[in-house]
Amino acid sequence: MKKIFAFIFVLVAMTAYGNEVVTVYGPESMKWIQRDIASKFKEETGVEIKFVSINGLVPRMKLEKNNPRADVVLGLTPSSAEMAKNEGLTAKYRPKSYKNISKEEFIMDEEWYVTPFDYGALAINYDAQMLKNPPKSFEEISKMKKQFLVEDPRSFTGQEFMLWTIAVYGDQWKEFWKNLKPSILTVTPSWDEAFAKFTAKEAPMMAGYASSSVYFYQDGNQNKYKSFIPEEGGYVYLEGAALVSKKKIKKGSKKFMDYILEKDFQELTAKKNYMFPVTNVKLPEEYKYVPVPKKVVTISGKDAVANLETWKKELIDILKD
Amino acid sequence: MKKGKLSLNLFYMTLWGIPIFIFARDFFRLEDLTEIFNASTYKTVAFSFKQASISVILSFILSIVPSYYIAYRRDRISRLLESLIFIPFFFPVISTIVAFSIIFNLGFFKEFQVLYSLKAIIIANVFYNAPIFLKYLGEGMKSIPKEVLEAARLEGISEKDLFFKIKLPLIMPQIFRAFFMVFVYCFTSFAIILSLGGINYSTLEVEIATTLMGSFDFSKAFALGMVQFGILTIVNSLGQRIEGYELKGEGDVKKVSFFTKAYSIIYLICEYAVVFIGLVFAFFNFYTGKISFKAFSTLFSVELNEYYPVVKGLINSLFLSGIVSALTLIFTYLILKNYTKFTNYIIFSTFGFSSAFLAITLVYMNIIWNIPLWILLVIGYFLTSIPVAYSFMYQYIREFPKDILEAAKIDGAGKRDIFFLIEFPILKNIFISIFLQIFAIVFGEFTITYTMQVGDIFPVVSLVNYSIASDKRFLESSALSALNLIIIISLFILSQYLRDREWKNS
Repeated sequence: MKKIFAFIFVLVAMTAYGNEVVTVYGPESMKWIQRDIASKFKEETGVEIKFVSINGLVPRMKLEKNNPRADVVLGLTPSSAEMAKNEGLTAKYRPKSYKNISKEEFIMDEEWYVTPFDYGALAINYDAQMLKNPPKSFEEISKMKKQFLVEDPRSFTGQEFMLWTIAVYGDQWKEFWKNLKPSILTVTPSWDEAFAKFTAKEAPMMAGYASSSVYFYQDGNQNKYKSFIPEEGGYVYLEGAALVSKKKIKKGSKKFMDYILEKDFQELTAKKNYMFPVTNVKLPEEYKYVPVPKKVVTISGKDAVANLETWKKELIDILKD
Repeated sequence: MKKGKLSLNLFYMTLWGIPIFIFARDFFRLEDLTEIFNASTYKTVAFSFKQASISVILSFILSIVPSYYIAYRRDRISRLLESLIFIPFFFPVISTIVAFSIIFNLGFFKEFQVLYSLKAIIIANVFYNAPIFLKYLGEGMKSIPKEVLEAARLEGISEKDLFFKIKLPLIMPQIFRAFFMVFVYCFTSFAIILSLGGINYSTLEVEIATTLMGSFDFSKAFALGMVQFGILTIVNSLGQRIEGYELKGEGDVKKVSFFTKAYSIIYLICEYAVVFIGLVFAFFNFYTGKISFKAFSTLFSVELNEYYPVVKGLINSLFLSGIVSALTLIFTYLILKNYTKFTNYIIFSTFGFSSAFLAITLVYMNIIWNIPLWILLVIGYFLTSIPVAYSFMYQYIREFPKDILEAAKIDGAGKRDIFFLIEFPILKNIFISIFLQIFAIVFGEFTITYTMQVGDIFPVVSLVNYSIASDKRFLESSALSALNLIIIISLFILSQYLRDREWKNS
C-alpha cells in the first residue's frame, strides 16, 4: 500500500512540476512569444508559458502589487524599469546566459533588476515621394514649416523622442524645441495616430523608429517610405525583461529569463519584434534597409526617472504655448 | 415607496459603487483631491465647458430646421434624417477622425487652417452629436397632438404665442434630454480633442486618461474623475427640475417651405458624406494609394486565424453583445416600470463616468477577487449601456397608454399577463430594435476591452483588430474595420426597419 501511495505521490509531484506555468506579461506586439516560443520552451524545460498582452506594464504591475499574477514582464524601457524597481515591483536576477550579451553598454541595471533582450533606434520616417530632398539633421528639420509629426510626450514614442532630444542637446533642449515648434504640424496622442496621419499624407515626416523600414520594405513598397537618423546622433533604446517581485519566485521564471538571451529567442526578436538582438546572432536580410546611427547619444535611466515628469510638463508647456 | 422599486435602483448604484469604492480604498489619497485644484485644472475644466457649450448650442441651432422637417413630413428624406441617429451611437469615432482629417486637408479647409484648432473640434463634435438633437426635437414636435394645436388656434392664439406658450413648453423636456446627452458626450470628448485639436486642447477626460496611462498616478486620476462626475451630476440635476409631460399624440403632416427642404437635404448630404468618406477609407491601401478589397479574402483564412483569432473574436463579440443587450433590455424595462423620483438622477449621473476608469476598477476586481474577466466585461458593458438604453426606452415604457394597463388590471390580469399579453405584443418590435441598437454599440466598443486587456483570455473582435494593427498588418486591419462597420450599420438599418414597421402598424 505504501508503495502505491509513494508512486502516486511521485506521479503527482512530477505532474505538478511538469505543469509549472509561467505567466509572462508583455506588449501586444510581442504576442509571437506564445506562438513561436512557448512550445519549444516547454519541450526544452517542461515549463509552460502563458503570455498575456499588457500595454502599460508598470501601471498593471502597480495594480497587482499586492497580488501579482505575472511571473515575468517583457518590454521594460530603461525609465519604466527604473520606475518599477523604485516601486519594488521587480526582483533581482542575473540570467545564467548573461555572458551572451554582446556589449557591456547594453546592461540596463548593474544590480540586474532588469535584463536587456533587444534594442532599437528612434528615427525620422519620411515619405520619399513627398520629400525628394529629406533633411539630414534636427537643425534642418526645424527650418521646415509644418512638415513634421511628433507624438505627445505622455505616450511611449513621444517620451522617447523627448529623451532623444535631451540626450542630443543637454541643457539646451528646451531651446531646441522652441526652434522646432514651427516645423511641427501637430502633436499626436501616440505613434498609431502619427502613422495614420503620415500615411494619409498630412505631413511628410514623423518621429518614429528606424526598424519601421523593415516592414516598409516587406510589403513591396520599395521607395515610398524611408527612415533616416539625424547626424546629431541616434538614440538607442533598450527593452528589458524582469522577474516580478513576489513571495515565491518560480524556477520556471528564472529558466525563462535565462532563455531570452539564448540564440532561438534572440533570432526571433529580430524577426518578430523588429528590434536588434543584444547578442551576436545573424540578422534577417531586410535589416540591410534599417539605418544605423553613426553616433549614439544616451541618457541614464536614473536621470530619466528622476526628471521625467518635470521634463514632460516643461515640454507640454512649450508645445501648448 | 415600495421596497422593490428602491432595490433595483440600489442594485444599479451598488454595481457601480463597489468597484469604485474598492479602488479608491486602495489607491486614493485625499490630499490629491485638494492638490488638483490649481490653475491647470481650472483651465482644463473651463475648456471642457467652453467646447461642450459651443458644440451644444451649434448642434441645437443647426438641427432646428431638419427637426421641423421630420416633425411635419413622412417621406424618404425624413426617414434618412431620422436614421442619422446611428452616427453618435454606432459610427466609430476613429472613422470620424479619419474622415475629418481628410476633409480638413482639402483646399478650402486647409486654407483656413481648420485642422488642429478649436474649429476642428467643434465641427467634429457638431457632426457627431447634432443627430441627437434631431432625434429628440423631431420626435418631440411630432408627438404634439394636432388636436391640442387646433384647439389653441380656435381660441385665437397667434402663431408666435402658439410656439412660445404651447409647443416650446411641450418639447422642453426633449430639448433638455438632448442638451444633456450632447453636453455629456462633448464634455467627455477624448479622441476628437486629441486627434483633431492637438496638444493645445485638453478636456478633463483627456487629463484622466493621460494621468492613468501616462504618469500612472491612479490617485490623481481618481480625483479628476470625481471632479468630472461632480460637474456632470450638477448639470444633470439642473435638468431634472424641468417637468416632463406625458402628452403624446399624432402630429400634423403638412407642406414645408422650399428653404426647409433645401436646408434639410444639404444637412443630410453633409452628415452622410462624412460617413461615406470614413467607410471608403477603410478599403484604402495606403501603400499602393488605391482602393483594395484583397485583404477581405485573407481575413477568414486558417493561416491568419492561427495567429489572430478573427473568427473566435467575432463569435465572442456576438455572444457578449447578445448577453449584454438582453440583460440591459430586461433591466432597463424593469427599472422604468419601477420608476422613482431618483431613477433619472441615478441613471444619468453615471452617464459621464469615464469608461477607461471604470475598466481599470473592474480589472482590479479580477486581481483581488479572481472574478472572471468575461463576467467583469459583461458588467462593464452593462453599466455603460444602461443610460443609453434608458434614453431609448423611456418614452415607450413610461408613456405606454395607462388606460390599457388599468383596464387589464381591472380584468384581473397579473403583472406577467400584462407584460406577455399586452405590452410585449405591442412593443415587440421596439424591444427588438433597442436590443439591436445596444448589440451594435457593445459590438463596436473598444475603450473598455482595451483598458481591461482581455485579448488573450477572451478575444473580442475590436481587440483582435487592434492586435492585427499592432503587428503592422494594416490592410487586414482596415478590412476588419470595414467589416465591423458593415455589421454595425446593418444592425442599425434592421433596427430602424423594425421600428418603422412598428410605427406603420400603430
